[in-house]
Amino acid sequence: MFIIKNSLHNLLRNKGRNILLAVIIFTIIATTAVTLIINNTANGIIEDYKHRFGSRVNIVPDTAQIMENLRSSFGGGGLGGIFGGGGMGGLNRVNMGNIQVTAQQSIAFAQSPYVLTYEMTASQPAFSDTLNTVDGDADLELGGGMFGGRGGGMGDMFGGAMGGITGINPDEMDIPNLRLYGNHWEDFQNGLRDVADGRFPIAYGEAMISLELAELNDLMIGDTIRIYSTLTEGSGEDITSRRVVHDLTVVGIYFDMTPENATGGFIRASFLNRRNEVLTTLDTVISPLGANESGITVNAVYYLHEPDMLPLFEAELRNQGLDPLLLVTTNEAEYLAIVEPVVGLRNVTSTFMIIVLVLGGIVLVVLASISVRERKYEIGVLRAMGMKKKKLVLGLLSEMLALTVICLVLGLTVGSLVAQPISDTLLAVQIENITPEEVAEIGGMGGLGGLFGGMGGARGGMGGMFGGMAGGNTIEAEPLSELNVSLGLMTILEIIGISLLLASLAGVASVARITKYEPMKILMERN
Amino acid sequence: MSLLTLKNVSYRYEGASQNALTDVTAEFQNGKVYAIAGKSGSGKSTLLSLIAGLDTCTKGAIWYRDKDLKEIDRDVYRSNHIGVIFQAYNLLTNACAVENMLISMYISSSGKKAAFDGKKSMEQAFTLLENVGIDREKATRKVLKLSGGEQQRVGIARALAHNPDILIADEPTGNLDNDTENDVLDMFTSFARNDGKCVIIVTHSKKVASIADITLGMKDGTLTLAS
Repeated sequence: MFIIKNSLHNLLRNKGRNILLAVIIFTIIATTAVTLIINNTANGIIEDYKHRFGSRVNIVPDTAQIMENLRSSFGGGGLGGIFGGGGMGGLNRVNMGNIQVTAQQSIAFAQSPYVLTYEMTASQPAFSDTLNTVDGDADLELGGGMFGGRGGGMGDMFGGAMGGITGINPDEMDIPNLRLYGNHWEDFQNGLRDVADGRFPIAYGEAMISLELAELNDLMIGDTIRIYSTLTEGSGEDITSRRVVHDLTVVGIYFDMTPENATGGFIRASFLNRRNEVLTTLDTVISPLGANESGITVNAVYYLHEPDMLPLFEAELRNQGLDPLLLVTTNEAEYLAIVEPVVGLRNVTSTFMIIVLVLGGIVLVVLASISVRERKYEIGVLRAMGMKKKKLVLGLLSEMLALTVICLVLGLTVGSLVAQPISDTLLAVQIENITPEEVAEIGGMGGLGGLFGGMGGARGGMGGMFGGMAGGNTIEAEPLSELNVSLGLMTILEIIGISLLLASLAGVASVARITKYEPMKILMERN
Repeated sequence: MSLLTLKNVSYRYEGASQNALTDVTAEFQNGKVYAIAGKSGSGKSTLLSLIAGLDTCTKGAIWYRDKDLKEIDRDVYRSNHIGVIFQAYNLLTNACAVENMLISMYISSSGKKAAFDGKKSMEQAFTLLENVGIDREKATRKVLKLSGGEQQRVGIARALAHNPDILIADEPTGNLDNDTENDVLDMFTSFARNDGKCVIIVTHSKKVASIADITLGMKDGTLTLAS
């Protein structure tokens, strides 16, 4: 105990030298604290985003391969020919193979052991012969032009929903004037819809309808509506269809905040009007679906337990028959776009920390060594009085440790205070350094995904014209512009570890010198 | 049995062509004051360093009681059995007088059964310093703020602080005034004759030599019996 007390006294006895050492140690610790605080926060954010985006799996078309296939199919005609007459809606007419994830597949994929959770929505064209629908009058006006040809002409408009069905007597078909959505609450989260009355459907057979649809039909909470949907089976000449009856209890009424006619009056049809969307549970939509039936579009995003499981998950999906033209992918581009400035910031601070630690460590070792040399006489006297080397070492280490602890407290305090402004400045520089080319590159990748988004739609989907249902890799994410750094327990422990390492380093340098000293030589040199 | 026995002790400094000490043989007993006289460079201080356990002889042996110094822990020997008064004081210059005393007491307490008692030791230190003419005010001053004579007295008090068996002094009274010199010499003789300790003094002073029971002469690294 005396030796430690004496060490503390020694700190004051040798003020000049210790202040110099303290300044060096403080600088190293404060700098390390700042860089570690920023680094650890940045790492946490990067890991979090990596986990979120890395484990969030989409199934999207392999656009490059599809384009290549298209080129081959059209020979010298090029892509102009694809879009020539029919516009983008014509894409579904091109033989592109079976590029789709069936509803059954989407549901089965969710059962994979690699999937932690999933977000799944389902949609299906529906029909009611008793309800008055919003823009229902337009359906009658358009009847001759739009639906006149039915089996022939509807292909463009309703894409996979009905266009592909041939060999069915059009008179037996229900023309969709509603749309049934399962688990589709995104618009409420995005502020496009709000609950006007009642609540969200939670049980099988419960539904939510728009305020306009409710008013048109004098519907109230608790009323029951009957709507129909069509499920099909088979292909080509052997296709069959069956009508599904949905008796739904209205438990909620929503208010839609989007313009009443999204197409600006260009096309008015009840089927296209958002206010004719009947929202219900996922189960309500998909439960009637038979093993080989189609007619329901299921969109799914899967979240894996770990990002590293992606290859295993993909292998499993391929085994289950996933088309080779569909990619099982994470949203890496979005992840990169978001975290790029933070990664840059982390790299800058890491490099700076390494430089400070190396240079600081060297300076500290040299100073500690010089310090011991200056105290050679004192060491000689103590040794002459019989003090053992280990006690001398303990004393010197205690001094260094006490000095380090003082610097640690100051360094942590100062470091945690200045970390945020330094982080803000460095992050701003990183954001400025992202070149427009890099942004365009990332944006371009997203755009391409968007173009073919609709191609992933199942037969019940809207086809290329209303693409995007399957969700391409559109990049909407802004790079992170704020990093709220904080001093966590792990960071504190790391800083303490580094400080102790520095103290030990300086201590070892001192010890190495002390062991070389013999009291008689020291005292004779002095005398 | 002799307290300290030197048997054919020779010593040569590293890189030197000649021995600093050659075949020195002597015996030192309890209760006696020894004076070692000789010219500068004759090997007196080297002999003291070897006796003090600061170094080991290159030939021969030094025995403390019944043990060769080479076989015992020289740190313990220095801290418990030897008290050294250096010609150049060799005090801890960044500490005050009493702290110099306390550190010496702490070092000598290592390995002993009784734990070091800071408060008790401090009182003992003040008493010892007062015995050599250093009052409490001076005892708490940094030693560099004391005169040469005062520093020497602190050195003497420090050497006596742990009550050693052997007190070795290298020109201990060179910086002292006459009165203090007398007091110090009285302390040495009392230490030897009343406390039964062995006092070995290297000196040029006839006055100091006169209090010795045995005076030894040192010439060219060899020891001779002067009286």
